[in-house]
Amino acid sequence: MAGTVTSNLTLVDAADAITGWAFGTDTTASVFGAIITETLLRKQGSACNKIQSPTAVGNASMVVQVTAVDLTGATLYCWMSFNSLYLMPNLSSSGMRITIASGASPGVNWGEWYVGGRDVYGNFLGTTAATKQAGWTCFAIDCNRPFDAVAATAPTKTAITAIGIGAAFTGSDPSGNALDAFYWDVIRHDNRLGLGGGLTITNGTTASPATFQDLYNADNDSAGTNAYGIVKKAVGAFALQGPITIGTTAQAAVTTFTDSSQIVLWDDAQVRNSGIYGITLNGAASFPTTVTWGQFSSNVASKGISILSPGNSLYTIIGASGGKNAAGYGSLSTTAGSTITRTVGDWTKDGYVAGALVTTSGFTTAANNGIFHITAATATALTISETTLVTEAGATTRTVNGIMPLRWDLVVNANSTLNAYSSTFNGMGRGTLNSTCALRSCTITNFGDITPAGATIDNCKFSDVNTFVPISGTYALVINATTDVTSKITNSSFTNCNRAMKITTAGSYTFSNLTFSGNTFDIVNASGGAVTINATSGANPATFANAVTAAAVVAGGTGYAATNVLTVVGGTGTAAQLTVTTVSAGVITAVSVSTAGEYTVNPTNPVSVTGGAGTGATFNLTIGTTTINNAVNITVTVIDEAGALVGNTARVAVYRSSSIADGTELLLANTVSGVATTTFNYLVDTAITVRVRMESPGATKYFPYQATGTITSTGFSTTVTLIKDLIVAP
Amino acid sequence: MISNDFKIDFINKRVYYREDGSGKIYTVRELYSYLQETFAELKNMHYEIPIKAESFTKYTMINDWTIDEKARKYLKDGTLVVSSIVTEH
Repeated sequence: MAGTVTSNLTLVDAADAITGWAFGTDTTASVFGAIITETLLRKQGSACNKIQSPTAVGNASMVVQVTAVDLTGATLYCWMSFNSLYLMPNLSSSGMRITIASGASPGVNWGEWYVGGRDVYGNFLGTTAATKQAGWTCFAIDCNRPFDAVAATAPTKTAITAIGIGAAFTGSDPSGNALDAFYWDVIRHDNRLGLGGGLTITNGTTASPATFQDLYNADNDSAGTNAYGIVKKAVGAFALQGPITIGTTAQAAVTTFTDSSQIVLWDDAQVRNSGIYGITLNGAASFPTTVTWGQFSSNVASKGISILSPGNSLYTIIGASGGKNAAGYGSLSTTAGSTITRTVGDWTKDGYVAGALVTTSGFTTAANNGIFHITAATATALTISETTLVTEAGATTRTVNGIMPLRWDLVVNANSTLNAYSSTFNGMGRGTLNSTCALRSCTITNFGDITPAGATIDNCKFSDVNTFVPISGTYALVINATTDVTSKITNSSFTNCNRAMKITTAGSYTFSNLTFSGNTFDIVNASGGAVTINATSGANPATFANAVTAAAVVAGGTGYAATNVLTVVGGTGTAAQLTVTTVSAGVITAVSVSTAGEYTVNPTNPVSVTGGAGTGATFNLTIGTTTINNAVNITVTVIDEAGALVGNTARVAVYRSSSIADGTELLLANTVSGVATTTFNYLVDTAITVRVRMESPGATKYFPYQATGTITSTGFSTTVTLIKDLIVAP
Repeated sequence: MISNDFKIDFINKRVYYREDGSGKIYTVRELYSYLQETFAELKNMHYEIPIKAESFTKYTMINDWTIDEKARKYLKDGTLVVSSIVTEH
């Protein structure tokens, strides 16, 4: 049987009748006539509502009264359609809006978000401006976003009593048609459930599993009963505008979700910037959930699912146009260092928040044109993490384009299994797996902090941990048990992953063909104990840092106060910080570790500290130690010009090229049957110099040989051909 | 025996003739052979080779190795190039 889809949204109003609907207090005059019920062009249910006026000019908002509801952090889903785009202004002039209000009916304290306009909405089917047509679109708004327009007193989001939509009209239809103008249909909200909102799909069997198409079919049922506005489909790809849950903890039958060769996109609508997107797997003890994406047969993974976050394109700010909520005329300027300033409009209302990326162009100074990371945004100023800007006075010829990375989370709860084969995950902010899961030949990029918890991960590529909000990742993988890695995580690569693995439990770990490159640290030992990495089969972990997990007071010092922040002295790396939690007459009696630090050489206990109001405190830190064992072979085979092994008298030496003179050799031995070999603990590619000399008295002598090479994660092997020295005295 | 007369200062990369040497004169080829055997010993592998042969009679001190002016007087039957100095023996 196909999957069964249920909605986790709460109905605000089905808009099947005008009952309860009224014009909002920001409606311009009464030029729009009455609110009318329309049955023919409805999106959902038996009817929709509309206003129509071919000649009206101004704003209209229509709200329905509701029992006071807390919409803090909620998402509203509102269906709207504007029949003649000619009558609707651009987004910046509030073409289409979602509104909420509180206070006396119909809500005198209102706030609105601009969500659509002639420039960004609709299907331009008409051949002239007058006949441009649009269709039904479900607009979603994150209620945490700042309003684009607000009454003198903003609504109280914790007690919203009116919810609605709105539109603006620019004038009369040039053809004189009495066109129906603006329609709206069902409105829902997600109950502030975060990943628990959206849609849930259950059931499905091996023979007839649940699929993404089932989600789409339910959302877009031909009877028009549902119209959840969560799942869309375009050019063969699914676009999701809300979270998906597969299976439930109370299900009375197994859930089997199987799909392959699909592309799933998180909707990049301009109205979203919060991190509520995600896929959650739940199951019941007797009725588990099994999700399979892609195929795995004869050890070959194929036909995977791609789940991608294209990023949320923000409104393009051109000095001359001002932005989404400001149609006026302004300029863009830079201040030396890290500030980009606008004179018209509001960065935050245009979606620019910490974590977004901006691309600037049109500035005279080349340094001001580029890609930058926003760390803070106010109405007029963006602060970026880069500090390379050069002061430039304002001008209207400059452009700022923004993109807000979208984050989605993957959570596999108990009694559920995810098998992902040849699949691609982009934008995964957090991933929580379990020991029954398997990821094979998957590509995970632009992500952060996946907890495998014993999942099988083989032949996967992890790249580009995203440290900026909303993903805010630090690690590729968080390892909480020795059994999470050995024989579980194999043949995988970690590239540009900031900190590739965080290990929280002491013990020995076998890294089988796990390769690392471009990471600040391959391993962060946050176990507080000894971690030993045994690298095999070409694994190349090289860099590590140890983190402080606890601190015990040795000497409490004098003059300290609670909340004092103390910085540890000593060691090599980023210093740990301790926060004083309790004191007795200025003497520290307890601290907590507020910053774990990252040490490549640990400080020596007892450690002293700087900072705080007092002096003299010392502590014993609990901090791990990390050992990487990665034995690879160095093998030098020596032959003569005839290709024969030279026997036992060739002297072979291998040195680090950087330190030959100190005589510390990696290999120094006579050949045995023409071969000299040893093992080397590989941490990084190591440049070496190889020397072979064979000048034993009474034997055949050869010219000395020297060459350079590199020990890689697979070791070093070379064959040296010696040339007879006929000059040397026999 | 050449090893009793010619000595090697590995630290300063210098070959010299002992003040109390036998006074015997050796061929440049004999010096070449002596040096090659010495530098092929395991304990000396980390030192750079001091000399190379271009023919039976032409040799060059290499890798910044030098040989004392006095020592050159105890060489014969060949040409030994030291840096840009060419000494006929």
